[in-house]
Amino acid sequence: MLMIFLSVVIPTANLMILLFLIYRSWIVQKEKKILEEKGAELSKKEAKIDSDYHKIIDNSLSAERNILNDATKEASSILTNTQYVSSSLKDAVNKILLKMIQDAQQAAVASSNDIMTKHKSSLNQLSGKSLEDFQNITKQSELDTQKQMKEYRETLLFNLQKEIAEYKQQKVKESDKVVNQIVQNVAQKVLNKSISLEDQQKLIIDSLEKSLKEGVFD
Amino acid sequence: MIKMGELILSDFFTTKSQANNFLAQLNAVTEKIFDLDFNLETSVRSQFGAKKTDRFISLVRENEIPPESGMALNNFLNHIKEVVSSLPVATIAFAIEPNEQILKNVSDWFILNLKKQVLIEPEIDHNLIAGTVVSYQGKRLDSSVKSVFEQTCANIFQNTPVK
Repeated sequence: MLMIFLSVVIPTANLMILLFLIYRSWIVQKEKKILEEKGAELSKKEAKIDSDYHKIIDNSLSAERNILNDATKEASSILTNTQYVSSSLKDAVNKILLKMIQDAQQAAVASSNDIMTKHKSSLNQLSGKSLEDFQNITKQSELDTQKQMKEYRETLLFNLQKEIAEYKQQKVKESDKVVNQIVQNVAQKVLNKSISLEDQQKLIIDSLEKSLKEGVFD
Repeated sequence: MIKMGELILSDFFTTKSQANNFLAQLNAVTEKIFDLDFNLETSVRSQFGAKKTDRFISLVRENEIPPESGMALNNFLNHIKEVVSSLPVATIAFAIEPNEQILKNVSDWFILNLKKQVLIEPEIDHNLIAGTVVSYQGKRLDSSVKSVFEQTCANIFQNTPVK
């Protein structure tokens, strides 16, 4: 029974597996075809994109060249204009400066003449006044000197004479004092030497007697 | 028994410095009193000289001190030292340098008038002319000729008008 079953089932199973494999193969073929179609489509798109890219680059380069040309032309024009303006300005400034120098020279000459005139006038006035002042001062000085001389004679000279007299008297007193001292010292020494030893002894005893009477030894 | 105050030593010294010297000599004698070969006269002579030795031996006899008794001699010498140390001192300024005779006269004057010996401490001041300036126990008196002379000079110079 089993053998019969197996003899029926195994071929059936093999047939089914074969059918499944055939089906899977068909499916794979179909998918491969789809993929190939998609790859072709993508290649087309890539070619188109590449073409567009190159076109854009070419356009950009062309535009850049145009811009550079325009800028160069413009710069050249500006430089030309600038040189012209600079030259014109220089001429104008030179003219103005020359004019200013001429004006200044004229003004200086005029001012100098004016100052000289005024100064001369002032000097004339001043010298006249100075002379007058000097005469006044001299006169006043003479009067002051006479006054001082009079004061000196009346007061200072008198005081001076008085002070000299006092100083003289003081010095004489000092001299007298010194002389007296010298005389006294000399006299003391002379007396000391001239007194005999006997008299000295007597005077010593007299001195002791006097001390006793005065209570020195009490 | 030794009686205090009866010793008069003016034959040995009159001034304070002489008294100090005398004490030193006395000490030298005292140190030898108890030596076996001690002899008073010989020992004193070696310190004081011949003249003062005789006077010193007389002094010992006068005070009845037996010279052979070391103890008695020692007591006597110590008593002399005490007397010397207690003597009063008078400072006297002289107009001249006083010789031994002047000093002895002054010392004797003190013994005669004060009844005691006084040591003299002499000073010399030639400006005094004559006389003395005495200083004794805090008191002082100038009784020299100088003070009289100065007063006389002052009167003379004061009466002389300044020209």
